[in-house]
Formats: sequence, C-alpha cells, structure tokens
Amino acid sequence: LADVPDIPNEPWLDSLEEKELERLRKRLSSLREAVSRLRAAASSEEPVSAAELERER
Amino acid sequence: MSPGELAFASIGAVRELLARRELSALELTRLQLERAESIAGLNAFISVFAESALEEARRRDDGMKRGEGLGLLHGIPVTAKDIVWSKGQRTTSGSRIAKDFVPDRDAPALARLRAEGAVLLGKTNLHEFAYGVSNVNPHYGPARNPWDRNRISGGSSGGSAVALAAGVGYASIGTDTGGSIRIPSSLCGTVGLKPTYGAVPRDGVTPLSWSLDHVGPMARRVEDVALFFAIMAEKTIELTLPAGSSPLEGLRVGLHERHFFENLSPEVDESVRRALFGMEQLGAELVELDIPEIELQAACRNAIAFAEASSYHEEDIKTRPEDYGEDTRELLRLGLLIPATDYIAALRARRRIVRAFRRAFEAIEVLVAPATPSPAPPIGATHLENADELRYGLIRLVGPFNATGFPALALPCGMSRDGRPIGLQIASSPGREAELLRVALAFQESQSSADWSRRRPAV
Repeated sequence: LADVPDIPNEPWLDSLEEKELERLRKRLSSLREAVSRLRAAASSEEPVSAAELERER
Repeated sequence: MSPGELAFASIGAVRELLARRELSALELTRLQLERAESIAGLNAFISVFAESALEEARRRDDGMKRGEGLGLLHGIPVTAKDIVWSKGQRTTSGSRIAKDFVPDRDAPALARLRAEGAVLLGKTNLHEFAYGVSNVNPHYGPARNPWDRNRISGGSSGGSAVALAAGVGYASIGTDTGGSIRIPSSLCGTVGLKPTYGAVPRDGVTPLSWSLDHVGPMARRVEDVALFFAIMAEKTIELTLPAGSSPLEGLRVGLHERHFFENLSPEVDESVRRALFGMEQLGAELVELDIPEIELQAACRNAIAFAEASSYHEEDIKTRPEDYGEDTRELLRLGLLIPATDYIAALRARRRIVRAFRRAFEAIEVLVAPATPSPAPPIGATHLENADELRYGLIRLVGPFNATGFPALALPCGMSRDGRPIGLQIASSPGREAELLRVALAFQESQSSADWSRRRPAV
C-alpha cells in the first residue's frame, strides 16, 4: 500500500493475499481522495461527536 | 377473520379481538409460530423462541383473566433484529464471532415493548453485524424477498422486513446505520422509520457505528410503526388526520431533484412522481430545493462508519479474520487503515452538512424522495437495474439522513410491472416524527384502493 500516503505498515497486512491487498488499496485510495475534498469543505468547522449530536437533537 | 387475514391485520384490529376475548394471546402466538415455520425457506429468522413465546402468551392470558390492565401491545407477537439484546436468549448479530452470545438483559427498546405486553416470537436475520445492505448472510443464509425468493430482501434489517411482508409478527425492532431499516422496507413493501438520532436508546444493541446507528420500528402499516415508535421512544404520538379531502393542506413538501431523482429505474421515478402528485391532490405544496452540501455526505458517512466499526471490531478482525464473511472482513480491514485525521475531518464536515439541512428544512415540513433507486435485484447481483453498484446504489438515497440524524421513513408507493415493491421516503426535521408519521398515514390512506396496495406475497 506504499502508493497510498500516510498508511502505517501494519503487521497484519503481511498476511493478506495480493488480490486482497489490491482491492483494499483501491477502496482506501478512493475513500481518502473523497475525504480530502471533505477536509477542504469543512476546514472552519469543529468536529461533532456522537454525544454532541445527540444533545443537539 | 381467517388466519390469513389475521396475519395481515393491524395491531389495533388484533388488540380489539384480544380485548373482546374472541382470540387468546396463546392462540394467536400458536398461529404465528406455525406461520413462521411455514416460511422457514425465506431465512427470515436466526432464532425462533417457540417455547418462551408460548409461555409469555400464557402469562398474558392469565393476566387478563385476573383483570390486569391491558398494555398497548398485550399479547401481540413481535420480532427483533438479532442484534438487539434479549435477556437469556442468544443474540448472534448475524455472525459467527458472536454466535454464542447470550445477553444478561434486554435492550431498553425491547424491554419497553415487553412491558406493554408484547410477545417476542424470535430474532430475525440480518447482514453480518449489520454491516451491509444485501442481507446475503454467509453464516445463516440470505434473507429471501417474499415477493420473489430469488431476490434480496435488502438489509441489514432484512429478516424483519421479510417476516413482516410474509405476515409473521405485527412489528419488529430494526436498526439503521446507512439505511438498514428503510432499504429492506422499500424492497419488501413494508414500512420502516429511522427516528431522530438518539430518540430510541441504542443501549443493548450491538453497535456498528455509534454516531450513525439508529434504532427504530418496522411494521406493515404506518399506524403500527407509530405505536411501536411511541413505546420505544416513550413519546406520545397524535396521529389523527384533519377531516375532509385535504389532510395535507398547508404542508410544504421539499423536492430535491439533484441527488434524489438522478439515475432512477423508470418505474421508481414514475411511482414516486405519482406519489408527489397525489400529495399535491391532498393539499400539499411542492417546494423545489437544493442542498449543495449533500455531495459531502457519502464520504463523511463512510469515513465515520468505517473507522467506528473497525474500532469496535479491532481485536477480532486482527486475530480471527477468517471468522468474518468476506465483505464484512474487507470493510473492517479498510477501517483499520483510516487515519484519525480523516475521521476528524469527517466529523467536522458533518457539522456543515447538518447546518445546511437545518437551513433547508426551514422552508419545508417534509422532504419526499425515493427510498431506493431500483426495486429488489437478484441474489448475487453486483449492480442494481439502474446500473448503480449494489452497496452504493442502495445507500445513496437513504444515507443523508444517517449523516444528519434527521428522521426518515420508508413506505410502499407502488409496484413494478413484475410485482416488486417500490418504496417512498419521507424525511423531516429532528424531533418531528409525529408530523412525518401523519404525512405517511395520509399518503397510505389515499392509496388504500390502489391495486398494488392490496397485494400480498404468495408464500
């Protein structure tokens, strides 16, 4: 998963087969790309946690 | 009333029979258990508790003979998704990992139903750990759609919707993290409410993603969903509609073309637009709106759900991954790799999305949209008939209300030419379930003479 930035080299990843790694890489890459757009859109917001969300309701 | 009619009657009608002693809780429970056995091939249940259900029913009858007051669900057989804890009864979460888990207490949502006299028939099938939308469960078999058993029920509360559509149980407890009450309700032709976030306690329900999980009612009719919700949430719900032909007079109904009406199966598009036209005839005013932030919700929801689910399963997914089904295993591994900063970015984005929804709902009382973009696909299909990838497609119209915590309900609004139910979704602002339920009831009543609304699956 070296081409996906900021991913730690977790030991359990070594036990995965090549095709499993490939699927994981694709999904992670696409998710992280989508999150980078989120980051730009919400840079001035405070995070809202589960407990806070419930209080707000 | 014939056994067939009794199986599909409303809770109110059955309660009346019980109160007049024309039917005992024991007789009713026996009929329901026989019916549950007759639909075993649909895999609606993971556990049927025949002995304890009969015992509970006997206790209800004894209580009545002693002149004890009748609870709102006195002697009514119900079911619960097998992720809801039931005291002394195994609760598998649809998994091999938790196959022997026996809780030492009831979830409060279930305890409240029992306190009103409900009889728990059994625990229903679900997508493993509620982490998926097909309900093709590798450990307990696929929950099969009663309208066509070669098609999926949808999930993750699929077994609950299957049982209801087949006339087993008068209501069920479901959970909804990314549409898991509304998707199977849409695909099986039943009614399901995802309440406001936190309105029904999540305590005693095995979590999938704490900040997106909702517990809610499923039934065949809006009024039964309303009753179940009122009990589970300890609220009073006034369902009376104004007399006359315009029960929705003055109601502003939001229509969000972008996102909710893009790339639908033609029959879904047609049925939902017909439903909107029908609401106009009942007095509602359609208001077009656009919430640009809706584009952020999928990534927001995914980052939160993946990270929170993997946090809960961290030890098991690392030490015994082979005990999970393939799709659940892959999602849990994915969640282990999400950096904390991405998770926080999603929590920050959620605030912006919630604020945008709040602003938009100032101009409307409810938003109406399809619940799923297509009717039920075949078991094993990777895509819906509108070409959406299965998981993405089934979540994309219901997911926004998990990200925001706004209440949303799915109910039938038609049927495809080949006899598959089509679901409508109605959403409202936080805490406005009563209004949402009244709109749904008015729509349901307006459809009571439609041919599709009188059909039942041949099971």
